[in-house]
Amino acid sequence: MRLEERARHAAGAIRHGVELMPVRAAAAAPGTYEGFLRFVERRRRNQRIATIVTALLLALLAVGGAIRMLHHASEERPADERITPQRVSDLRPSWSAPSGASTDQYSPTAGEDAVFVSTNRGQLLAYPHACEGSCEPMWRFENGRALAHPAVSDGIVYVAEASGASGARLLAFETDCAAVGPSCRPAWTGRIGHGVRWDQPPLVAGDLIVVPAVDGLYAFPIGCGRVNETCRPARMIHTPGPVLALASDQASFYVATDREVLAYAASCASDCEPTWRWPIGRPQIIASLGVAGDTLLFGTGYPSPTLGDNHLWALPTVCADHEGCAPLWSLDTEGNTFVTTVGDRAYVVDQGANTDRTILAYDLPCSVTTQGGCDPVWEAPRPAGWEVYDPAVVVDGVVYVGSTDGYVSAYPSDCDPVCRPLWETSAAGYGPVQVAVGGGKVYAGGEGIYAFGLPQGRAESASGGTSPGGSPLIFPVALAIVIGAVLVRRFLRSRNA
Amino acid sequence: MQRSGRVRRASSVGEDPLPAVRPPRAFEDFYRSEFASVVGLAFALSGSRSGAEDIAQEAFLAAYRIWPRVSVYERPEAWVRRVVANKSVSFFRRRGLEVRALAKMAIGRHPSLPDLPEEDAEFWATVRSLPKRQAQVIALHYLEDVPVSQIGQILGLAEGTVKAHLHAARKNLVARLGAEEEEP
Repeated sequence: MRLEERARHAAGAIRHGVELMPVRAAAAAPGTYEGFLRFVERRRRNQRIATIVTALLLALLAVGGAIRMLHHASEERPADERITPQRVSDLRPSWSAPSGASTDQYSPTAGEDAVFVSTNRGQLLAYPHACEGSCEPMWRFENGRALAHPAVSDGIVYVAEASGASGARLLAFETDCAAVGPSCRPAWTGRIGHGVRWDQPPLVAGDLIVVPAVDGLYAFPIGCGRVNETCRPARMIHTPGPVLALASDQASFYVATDREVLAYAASCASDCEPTWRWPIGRPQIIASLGVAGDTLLFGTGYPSPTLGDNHLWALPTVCADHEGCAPLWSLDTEGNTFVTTVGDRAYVVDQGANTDRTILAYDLPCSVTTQGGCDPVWEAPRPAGWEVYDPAVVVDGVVYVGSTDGYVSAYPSDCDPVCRPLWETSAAGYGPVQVAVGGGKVYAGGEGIYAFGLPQGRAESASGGTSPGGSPLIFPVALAIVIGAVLVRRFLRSRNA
Repeated sequence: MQRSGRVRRASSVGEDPLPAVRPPRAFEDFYRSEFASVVGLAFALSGSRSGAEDIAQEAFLAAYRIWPRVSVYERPEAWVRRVVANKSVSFFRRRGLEVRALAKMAIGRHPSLPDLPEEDAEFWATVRSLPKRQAQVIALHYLEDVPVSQIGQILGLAEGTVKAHLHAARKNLVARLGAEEEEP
């Protein structure tokens, strides 16, 4: 058959079939005009329903995303960066920057996006948490004057010049300093007399940044200044001796000198009298102070454990007697003790201990024993390494202790009565190690900076599942809002059509 | 042809086939007079008996929504046929039609169009296997029996382009069906 003939035959078959489409007497049947109108109405109704449902779903997505973003911004660390007791044993070396000089001391503190490291050579270095394999600082500051341990809060890194020549300063840097180049200048500075002890970081207390200097406390308002300003302290409290340790709660600042422990009202303007004081007799070293459960905890001691007479003391934070304050309890220790408090839990590290009772955890207030002491919740034997020179660091339920010879040990905060470490490493160089934790990494500062991280691609949320980060939700939330608005507009137009 | 800087496609809001030269027509009259043949065109190009009615309904719905504009065209039926021609040859739409046809049969709704004789069904299946434009030109030429110039207006193509597609389509059909070619 010819093509033309076949084509016309086939076309005729369709035309014939169309004519044979059943003629339905019923109104509103498909193929009739009434049926078409019903089809139109049905389509409109379905579109309205789909628009409403989609708009509701998008609204839920937008609201849920906004709540999630606020939650993440306000308090929660991104779920996949948490090093929990279940994951800490997976830590492995990530990168390192050894200084090459055994006399160097690097002191890290972790911020939201980076770790900030001060050195006794007068450097402040910022390394991003995202580094793997190797790392260069995002920005650096150098002034040749030894810097003490830094502190970071609300986008500002605070570091004080260590005691020495007059004219020491508190330096405040914006954490995103790299935005203006690799070399950073302080946002503002403040005079702090003769400086601080090298192991004393500034303390953030409410809306103040408090510096424990050798001649007293200097308190600067947070956000003191911007762009190369020189700030004046809001308050200055002269203390009877150099400040060896500092702690605070909502009501008071607690200061340790080499002869006494003093409490000052947090509302103290300047040069106010202490609310109470507790003499310790002969000049001694108080390495750190901690406040937990209305208890002020600290240790007194001497540089060498062989001199003996080292104690751990627990005083009430509120004392009725202005000239004396009876201890709640006390313990003999082998050496100086370092105190770290988290909530009502205190972790005490005995520097001189050579027994199973080197790291002790107490819940405060404590039930005093018949011997006038306090039984710990758990205790751990001496960690690997020779001695501990810094307080423990507690993050996400893990207690980190750094000791000499580059050792870092990690214990669960909720542990058995005799606690064993979940993780230990000796890969943190040499010298006494100070630990900082943040951005999914554990940093050990000694004669360099050493970072340890979890293997890539393994994430954990608080509920045990995977969880995406919060900030990328900004764009889908915004898109959801825009699409929802368009759909609502279409819905309103279809109703009016 | 562009308006307001945007190119609109015939399958949605279509291009104007011709400028307005006649008074508006009642949609109901238009629907009643054109529906059956539009279903036929949809059937030829989609191959789906139940889907052909759906495609036709959607094309008339599109016209209904902008009827004040379409109604004053010289050939509103050409606008509807362009919509049908484009919707029918869409691959994804064909798959969707198959799924919906199965669903309708599952609930007892059968297509209105009867089956075609085997030889005619084979012819239209071969037409649907051609490139889209060739299939559209063949269906409009033989099924709607409209001249080349009107096919060009329906599909938005130049007359010469329509002739080229028609020539190529015939050659392909001869090769695939084994028919004898006849000079147009």
